[in-house]
Amino acid sequence: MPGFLANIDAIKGKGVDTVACISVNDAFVMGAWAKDTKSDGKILMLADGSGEFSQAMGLTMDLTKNGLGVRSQRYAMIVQDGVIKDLFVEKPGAFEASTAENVLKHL
Amino acid sequence: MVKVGDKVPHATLRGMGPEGPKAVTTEELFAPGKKVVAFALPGAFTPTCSAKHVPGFVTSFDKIKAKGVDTIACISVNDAFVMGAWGKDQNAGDKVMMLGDGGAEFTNAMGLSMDLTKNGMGVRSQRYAMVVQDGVIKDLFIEKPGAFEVSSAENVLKHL
Repeated sequence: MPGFLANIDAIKGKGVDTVACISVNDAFVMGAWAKDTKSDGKILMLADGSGEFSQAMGLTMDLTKNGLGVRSQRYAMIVQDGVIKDLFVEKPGAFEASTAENVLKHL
Repeated sequence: MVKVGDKVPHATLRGMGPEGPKAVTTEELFAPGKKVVAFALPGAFTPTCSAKHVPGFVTSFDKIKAKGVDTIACISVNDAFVMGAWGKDQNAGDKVMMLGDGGAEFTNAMGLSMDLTKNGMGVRSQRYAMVVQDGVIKDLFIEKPGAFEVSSAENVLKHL
């Protein structure tokens, strides 16, 4: 999250219209998190509370045993005209491919 | 669904500790010799829960403790990270233990879930409060959908 916030101008400078953050939390939690991270107006914070989007993407992971239920894997994608142009899915526990820095290189 | 006189079913909840999520089993929370008031609600940071339900218990902390209650716990189908942030936001401090039931294990075992999938919230907990002594449910106050009456701190206090 801080990476995309710090790079928002650089990303927008590449012709990107919208930067969105999606998580299997509800809209109340995403709203509170937006305040906490001061991302209001910069990053669209979107809730996928029932996991509908994450399941349709085929990118869920089951963290029920960790007390987190079914969640989204960590990934980033570039979408043009509704079509996925780039998809960076992290290996479990990793944070490399989906960073703002890596996404920027592909814009 | 559980009823008065039942033992609280086994499940593992998670609170936010200084080093991250910390597991708390229902056997630990509702241990023998302990009197516990637990209340559950549909979601952290949601309007009724944030404006009324939690503040009521935080405000009534001293009165509830004076009735011989050892622990007040708030349980929601959210993860420990969310419950920790919400506890800070609500100034729950050491007064109300904020416990996440992220996988709804506890809520399902209690038979008190509700399906809010169509509202983008997945499976959540109904709103209720209970008084537990020695692991056994002594009082159980389940709200009708949308209501906020019987599970309030004020009503629980009357039954302690």
